Amino acid sequence: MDRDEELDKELQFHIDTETDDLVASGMTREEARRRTLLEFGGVARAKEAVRDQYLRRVADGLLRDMKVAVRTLRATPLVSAVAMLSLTLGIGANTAMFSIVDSLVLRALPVREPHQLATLSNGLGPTSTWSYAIWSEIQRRADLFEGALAWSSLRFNLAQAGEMQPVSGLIVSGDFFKTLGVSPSVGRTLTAGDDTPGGGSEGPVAVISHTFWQRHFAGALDVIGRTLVIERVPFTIVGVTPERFFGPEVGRSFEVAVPIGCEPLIRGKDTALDIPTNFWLNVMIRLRPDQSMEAATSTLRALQPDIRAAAMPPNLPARLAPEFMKSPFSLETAAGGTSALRQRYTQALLTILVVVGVVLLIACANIANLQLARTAARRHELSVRVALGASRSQLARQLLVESLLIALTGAVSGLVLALWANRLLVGLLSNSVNTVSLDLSINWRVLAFTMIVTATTALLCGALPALRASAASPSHALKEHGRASDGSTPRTASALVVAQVALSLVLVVAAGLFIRTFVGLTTRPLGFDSERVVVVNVNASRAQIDPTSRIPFYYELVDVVASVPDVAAAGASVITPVSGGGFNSFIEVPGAPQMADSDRTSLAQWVTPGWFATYGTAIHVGRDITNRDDKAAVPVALVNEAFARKFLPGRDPMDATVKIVSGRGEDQVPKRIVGVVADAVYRSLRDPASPTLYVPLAQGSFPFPLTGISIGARVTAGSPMRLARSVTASLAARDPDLVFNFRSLAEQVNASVAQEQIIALLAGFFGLLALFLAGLGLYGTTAYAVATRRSEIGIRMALGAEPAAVIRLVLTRVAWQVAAGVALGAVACAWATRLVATLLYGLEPNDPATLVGSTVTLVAIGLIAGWLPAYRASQTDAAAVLKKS
Amino acid sequence: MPRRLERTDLLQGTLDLLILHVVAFGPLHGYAIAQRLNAITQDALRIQQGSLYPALHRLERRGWLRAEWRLTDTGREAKFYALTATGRKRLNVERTEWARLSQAIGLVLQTEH
Repeated sequence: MDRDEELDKELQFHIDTETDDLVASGMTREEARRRTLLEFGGVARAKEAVRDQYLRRVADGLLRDMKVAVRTLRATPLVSAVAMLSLTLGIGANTAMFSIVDSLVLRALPVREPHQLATLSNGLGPTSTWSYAIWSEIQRRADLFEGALAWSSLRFNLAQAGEMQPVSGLIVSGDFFKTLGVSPSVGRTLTAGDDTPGGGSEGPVAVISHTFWQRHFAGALDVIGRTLVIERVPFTIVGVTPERFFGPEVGRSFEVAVPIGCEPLIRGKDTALDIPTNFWLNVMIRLRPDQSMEAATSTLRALQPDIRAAAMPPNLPARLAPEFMKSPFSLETAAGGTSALRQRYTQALLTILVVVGVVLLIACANIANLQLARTAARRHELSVRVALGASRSQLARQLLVESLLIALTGAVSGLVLALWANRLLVGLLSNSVNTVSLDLSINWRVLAFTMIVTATTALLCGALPALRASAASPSHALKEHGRASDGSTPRTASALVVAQVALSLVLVVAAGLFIRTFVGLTTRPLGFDSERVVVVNVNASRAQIDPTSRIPFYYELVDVVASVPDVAAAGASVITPVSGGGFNSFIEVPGAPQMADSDRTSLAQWVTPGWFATYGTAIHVGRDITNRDDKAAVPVALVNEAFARKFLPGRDPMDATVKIVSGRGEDQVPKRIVGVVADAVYRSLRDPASPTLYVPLAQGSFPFPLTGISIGARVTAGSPMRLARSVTASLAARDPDLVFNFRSLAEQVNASVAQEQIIALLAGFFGLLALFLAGLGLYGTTAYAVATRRSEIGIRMALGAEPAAVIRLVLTRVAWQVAAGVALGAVACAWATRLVATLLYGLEPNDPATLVGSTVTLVAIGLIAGWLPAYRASQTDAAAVLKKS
Repeated sequence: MPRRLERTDLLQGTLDLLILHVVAFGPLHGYAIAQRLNAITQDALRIQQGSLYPALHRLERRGWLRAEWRLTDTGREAKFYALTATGRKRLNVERTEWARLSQAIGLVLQTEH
């Protein structure tokens, strides 16, 4: 018999017995029954009253607490709104940052058993690339593992000619999808049969991603069998991958995948398959379920001599051969795939995650303070409730429920904010140079994180006030409530404010360091005019030009661009400046100071005449390269000032020669230095001015096919991007098979500091928020302290204290809090900023100017926050206060 | 029909005391407790069934009453409530408290203003 049935039976007994008794006393049965039920107030009501007792303890209690909490929060709408808003920002920012960290760092690839995957590396870093020869050797032995796969990411051009229509492409081994465990959502994936030179039985085939299918084919079901022209070669689409699969690289979603066997169709004369020195493939293996990483590594190492020997480039310089043989095969766990984005951003993202965590802490301290003040103001109410029989745990629970309610509201709106902020952040990560795509759907891990953060927040905000409330004593109720002030509440509040000031200082210092890093980078002398130059990357691999005649052809293209109206100057280079790529070559400079071999390196760039004038790099001494500096002429070079300082100190550079040791052919001949140019940024803004060598393009010899060139065009006036159309027309008129893209040099420069910009932006925003919250906290506690000391202040003023003295009295208290907070914060900074040293540029982590500047800012905010209540206190009407007490 | 007496609302906690008192003489079922209470108070404190049964269950949960199903004289099954040892202690405490309170109230009411 359960409780309900038992209760029914018990009440039924009562009703029956009473009815019987009334009948016995002479009433009719109907009348007796009616009376009984009437007296009973209805059976249902009695039952409900009993049941209530059980339910109330669980649900009703909570519901009642919630109702009271809502009423309390509504009573002070402004304060509650500020609390909820700060938690929305706090929880939202934490959720947003965590979900990015989650998708970039924590999440496994959406493939079968991702933990069995491992990438092949040379032991120097998480990602290495390999030649096709090495991959073929490993592929032949794939049965040593559950499987092996290889891929290379690159851009495919879908345009037939003219301006590029790039898509994110993958060149993959035949069983790439099968080994990863990705099944097609439409059609089929690739097979080993497709991965044969020139394509398998169906000819060249391609698999497309879900996104590309939707965007390019509007999700048409008959997409299978259709033709997709990639690099002007028709491919047959055989399948579509599932929506969740974005490829092996996090942060980069593939759109079209083709087999390695079709690579020669795409790259044409510049195919990498036959070049054993071209390391371009990522290689991954899938471990057998019973195979450990160590076992697989030793299997690979045992085979290393065979694989290396078979894949040895025949023309490898003798000096490099032993190194090639020795470099050990290593396996790195690859459950999360590979990601260049991850390597670049993990530290920055974790830093910002800590920053937003601290912001949330500061917000919690504020809310705890508000709650403390509110509890003190409600002391009378709480005492009355204790007197009426409320238990201490009930009071504590009531206050915790209030904090929970604030935190939950913050969490819900924070989640919405996070969804929006995530898109914004990924937008910031992307630029015209790299498009970043991340799967930022909210998953259980993000939700769990948000829930934990919310619960912690509620506890942090509510625990102190709850403890304080449960100490309420019924005797307080009897005292006059206006004076029921308790000295310990301001003390706790002060401690919280000191902590807030300390944490804010850390954030403000961090923001200062990151902003100064960004400003330092962007205001650093570039050595060229980024505002007036547009860079055209021209690809000639499709052009009807013999690879050996490409260099004269590029000279011709420069002339074509230079003759376009409004082009002031044009020049071509092999390396696009600030693109992150480049060559660091071993050199020999006769007569240079003694230094280690590894130190005798210089960056190398190959340029055409006029390149320096186009970019605006000053030639300090000597002459520019001319058209006469060709293969037949004496080899020459220009160097930058850093080069002259390092290798030719105190010498006339024009007397010196330089030889590229690691080069071959003509480069092995010593080059006469004919000029010195200003230092200019080469690879990235972060690199210090490094020795750089400029060689005439016509005199260069390259260990790789020079499929394209970067042509800079300087505009006569206005935005350089306005040249895009006329330059396109001229280049297309010269050779319709050329493909190219445009980017202003300024854009290129900005893209290279994207990471620093994001950190500076976020740290700056949250630093400001921290300042605001700390100011709010100081203001709140000071105002409260002033309110509780109203009568004391009134008495002082009645005894003749000047308003200035009252202001001093209040501000002294604020000053102590700020001073203590700043001292604590400075200690925390000394420790915390060291952790971000590698993210800084041109600054020491303990940069004194930043620390002083941040301290001054905080003190100023503190004084403003303290002055307002202090001034109000000084206006206290002494007579009114005294009358009241 | 006799004139209805003015009915007084029970002070919170008083009902508990009354129930414990009535049950102290031996196990009773709910209806009998109601009857006994009405008889003792001469219907001056009219006990609502809507508050009686919740009170009984509350006292049972607190361990002051023990309940069991037994047969009545008329052969029907009814839930009988009996006082437990802790219930008896509680009764003594409540009695003392009540005496003090009523004495105090009496004093207040006798005081001339």
